[in-house]
Amino acid sequence: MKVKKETGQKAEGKRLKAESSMICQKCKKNPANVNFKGVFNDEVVKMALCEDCARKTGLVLGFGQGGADLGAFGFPWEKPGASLAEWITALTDPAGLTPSITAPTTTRALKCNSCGLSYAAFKDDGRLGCDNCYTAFAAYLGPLLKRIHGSDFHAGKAYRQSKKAQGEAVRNTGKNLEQLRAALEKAIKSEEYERAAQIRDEIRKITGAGGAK
Amino acid sequence: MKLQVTLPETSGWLSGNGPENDVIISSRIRVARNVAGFPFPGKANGNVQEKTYDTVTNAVTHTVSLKNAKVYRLDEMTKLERRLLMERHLISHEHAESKGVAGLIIDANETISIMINEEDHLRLAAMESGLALETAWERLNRIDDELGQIMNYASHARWGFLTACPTNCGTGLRASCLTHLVALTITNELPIILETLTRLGIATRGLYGEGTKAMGNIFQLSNATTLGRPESEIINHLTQVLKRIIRHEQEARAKIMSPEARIKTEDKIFRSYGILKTARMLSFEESVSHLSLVALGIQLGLEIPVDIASVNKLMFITQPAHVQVTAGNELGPDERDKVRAAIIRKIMDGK
Repeated sequence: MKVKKETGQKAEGKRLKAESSMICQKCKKNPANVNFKGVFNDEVVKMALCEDCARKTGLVLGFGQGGADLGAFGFPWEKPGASLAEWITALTDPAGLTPSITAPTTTRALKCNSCGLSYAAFKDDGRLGCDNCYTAFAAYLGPLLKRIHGSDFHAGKAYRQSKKAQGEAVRNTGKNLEQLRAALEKAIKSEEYERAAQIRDEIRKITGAGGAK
Repeated sequence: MKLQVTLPETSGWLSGNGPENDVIISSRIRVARNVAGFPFPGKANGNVQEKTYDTVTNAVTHTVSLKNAKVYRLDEMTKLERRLLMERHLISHEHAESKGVAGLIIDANETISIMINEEDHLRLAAMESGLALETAWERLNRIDDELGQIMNYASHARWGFLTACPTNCGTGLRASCLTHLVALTITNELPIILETLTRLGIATRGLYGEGTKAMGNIFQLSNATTLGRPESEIINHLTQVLKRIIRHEQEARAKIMSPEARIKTEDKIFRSYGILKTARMLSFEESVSHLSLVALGIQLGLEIPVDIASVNKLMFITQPAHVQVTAGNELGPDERDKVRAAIIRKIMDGK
């Protein structure tokens, strides 16, 4: 990932424009006066942040102090790259993502039926709540994964869960959950919402996700 | 000062005997794994985190490959101890700062580690000296296979291993090398190379990984994406890129030793040696930048009366937590700088 601070007159113009019209995409409070462009798998992602957030995010490449004087050669990087998770906010920007046709029209209400994480919360910090989030948000995650990785198909080692797993608690929990989730999907498909709600509660009981946000 | 962790003076992967050790300090492979059906650590409450910890440690005790490994609870450790583990590259910065139930499993020579409840339930890692990503992967893959049979990993038919952050899913694999690119920094060629690396899908990070600073001309290079390519291809691609970087670095080392540049290079290196030999206070950042140049001097065959192994060791034991453990006390920044300078002087004097 390349993080580049725009410089020069053109950038200055853009910056002024941003200052007068935009607020920071991260804190949504201060005026956004720092514009960043990052290249992600050959796609340009833009972010407008206030100075505080830009610094916190690590998008500002500062200079370290002390150390051997390398003269004109020195270029100590404060932070050689922003955290990848920070980019998810930019990458999940609705304007940029075209979800598959099965996706609900409003993402705001979209929630994982196992851990309760909302899609909006995921967009905020770039972290999913549980493995079922991948199913719950599948319609959006497919295109997102493609943007992040340039592919949305696993080509690495194939994994099959073991039927002989010795950690009984784990295996049972995992297996039950798998069955419950399959049942849940089926119930939703056949529009048996009452049954779906029951199954969802059962899943929550196992995962203990009630207290999670 | 009583420590829970007892660690040897240096780690196995710091032996300095690995392939291409002049430029590549170490190789590391890590995979991110999660226990099926459990909420990810960041979204789990204390009970669930506890349950995850038990599940993982219980599974590890059933393995053959990790039967001699030690298990630690990070949340029962002091800040200093966590920092020590981070300086050893056994835990990440994020893990060192974690507030919940967190654990660490390490094998006898510190080359295999498992972080429990970091961003994912498990972060398994293997480290080797020099450029040896394949060796690291072979070892780690076996352990991963074994653990995956004892407990059930969260996985998806299309997206592979599922992780808390979608940037890690698929193989969950991050291959990385700590590289000492000092001559490329001096010749100012590094920015262009790092820019090219971005386009090749290689990320550059600082000394302690994501979100940390580059110090001592040490950069961590790793694959940027984890989904869409098999593990072997990710590892092979990074290895090939690194071989090219080694060539660039060697060419830059030849360049700074050319007849017209040599005196300037020698001057810089011996000035650094002089500072290390005489200074009374040294911050880690300052000392590591001088150590970087002194290491370069030794590798270039300059007459510096210290061996490379001692310099490598110094880069390690002069880190802030290491200095405090050596002193046997928690120290403030000034005191640390004093103790650090003394440790360095002693070795630079050949004592």
